[in-house]
Amino acid sequence: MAASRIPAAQIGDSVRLEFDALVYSPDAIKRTLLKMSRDVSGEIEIASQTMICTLFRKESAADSIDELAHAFRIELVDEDLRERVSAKTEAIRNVILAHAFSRTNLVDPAE
Amino acid sequence: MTTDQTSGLSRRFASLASYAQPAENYKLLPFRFIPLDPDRARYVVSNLEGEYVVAKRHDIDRLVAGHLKPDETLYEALSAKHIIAPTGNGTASVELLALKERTRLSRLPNFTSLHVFVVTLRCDYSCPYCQVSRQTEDRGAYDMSLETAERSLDFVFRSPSPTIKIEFQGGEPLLNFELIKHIVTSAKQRNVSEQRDLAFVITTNLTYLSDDVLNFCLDHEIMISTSLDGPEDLHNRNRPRPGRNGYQLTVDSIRRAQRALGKHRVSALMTTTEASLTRATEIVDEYVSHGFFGIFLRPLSPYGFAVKTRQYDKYTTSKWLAFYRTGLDYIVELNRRGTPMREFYSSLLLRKLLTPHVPGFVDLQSPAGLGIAAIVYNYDGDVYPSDESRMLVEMGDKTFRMGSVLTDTYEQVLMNDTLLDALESTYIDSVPLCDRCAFNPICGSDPVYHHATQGDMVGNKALSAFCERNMEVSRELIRRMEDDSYSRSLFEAWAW
Repeated sequence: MAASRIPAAQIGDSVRLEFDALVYSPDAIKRTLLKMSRDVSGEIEIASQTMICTLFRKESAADSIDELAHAFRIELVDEDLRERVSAKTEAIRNVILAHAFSRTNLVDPAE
Repeated sequence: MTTDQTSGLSRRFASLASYAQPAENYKLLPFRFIPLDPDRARYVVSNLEGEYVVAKRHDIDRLVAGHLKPDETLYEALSAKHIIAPTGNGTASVELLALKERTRLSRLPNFTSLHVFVVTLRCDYSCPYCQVSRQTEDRGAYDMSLETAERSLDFVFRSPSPTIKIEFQGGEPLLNFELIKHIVTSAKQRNVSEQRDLAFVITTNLTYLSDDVLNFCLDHEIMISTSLDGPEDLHNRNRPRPGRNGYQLTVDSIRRAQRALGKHRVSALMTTTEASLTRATEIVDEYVSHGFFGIFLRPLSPYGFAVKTRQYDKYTTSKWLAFYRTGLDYIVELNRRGTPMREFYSSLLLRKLLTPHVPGFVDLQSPAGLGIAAIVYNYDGDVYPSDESRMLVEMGDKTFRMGSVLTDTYEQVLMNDTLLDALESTYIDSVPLCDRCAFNPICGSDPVYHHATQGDMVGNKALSAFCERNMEVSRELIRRMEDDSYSRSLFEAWAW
């Protein structure tokens, strides 16, 4: 579940979400914002150990700002997990790719 | 304590052993995941090669935490798809994934296999969605010259690909049939020493399909591809031909071509317009009635006249997806009733999802198929890395022009920064959102599409209709396979 310490502050068609910076990385939050950029734009600030993300609902969005905030929190949890999976499997991924091309001459041995 | 008391306690508390951390019985291999259902009830979990398993969200958490047990069905499925490597299986999973990665990318060293010759821009039709600006019949200035054709053939055989397909396009290519004959003959002469697997296709509206043309096609095993947008009123509305009933001419010529060349050498493509969106079943019926074994439910592309006539704005991706689902429902039902029919776009994605084979569909490749998979020799000698980039020229946009067969060498054209920059910057493993998408291995980058629609070859995929369409079609196919065993076996047949 999203680590929001303070309930989101909703002002009109925008909402201010706060996340514990020890739980979620800036990268995960930016990726989530990018993924939802059809429906929202956003601003990100860091204050002490809190990441503040303000979402602004686009006029073309079908969902309400509440629904978009909810969707953001759910997607952020997924992005966080993707980040952890990527980090856990980076080494083995590189081994697999290196092994895949190990018999080609595509890589200069001098590099 | 009495026996009764101890047995009572053991009923209330689990044994000490059950609180111990589970021993690590598997290692994670690289994987990605994405919601399958709109309510996120299920997720698609895929490996580096696109092989996938459907799982619940909390099971993915358990997977990552190392809590799956070997006796679970999910454990078995994940192991079979190389998403986990059971402890003690050595390097088997690594080696298998490496082999599959090599297979998936094995087309790359073969380089360009599809060579498109735009032999003329002249055309006798006035299709509002035409992706090519067309010149009227009497403008001879828009025909490819003999010199350009020969220089283009020089380029064709510089490609190392063991299979070469030469496709004639236009305008209406049969308006320059004499040049087509020359190119086919010249290519076959060169191929005596080259020994490639050489094939030819003419994409034509069939107006000029004379007996001479059919005999030539028969003698040289040339395939015919035409346009059939649906029933008569729809076809004629989409593809107006001044002064004639285009539909009647088309279907009569399809029959003639099928009789002369065989049904396997005649294919048709439809284009979806706003008028098509509520008529999916009728369009499929039209294809069945003319003996076609499949149909490609295509969306409208954002190029050429389609943009000028504002056809492209007229429907959103969601409307097209509704059209696609209706069409696919009907095609599955036809198969249930014993009428074999397939949907070709679905077949492409299924081939990528379910087999190690990679279809040569230019739009769904990463690195992009530009130049690598296909190349276009325009009537004026200019070279483009895809048919779509050639169509952009008609909108005044020569961004993707690679050079000219008349003035540049093969090396200058194929090592052009225009092409190399496009390939490098759009490689989807390096693109935000694509890099961690579960459908990454079966998708592509389509730089021309994103340039045309967003002014940026990479594009913001959250705004991309190309992305939305591919994701939703992939989800649709996987859901149907999960929820209906008949669809599963049908789609597996389509994949192979």
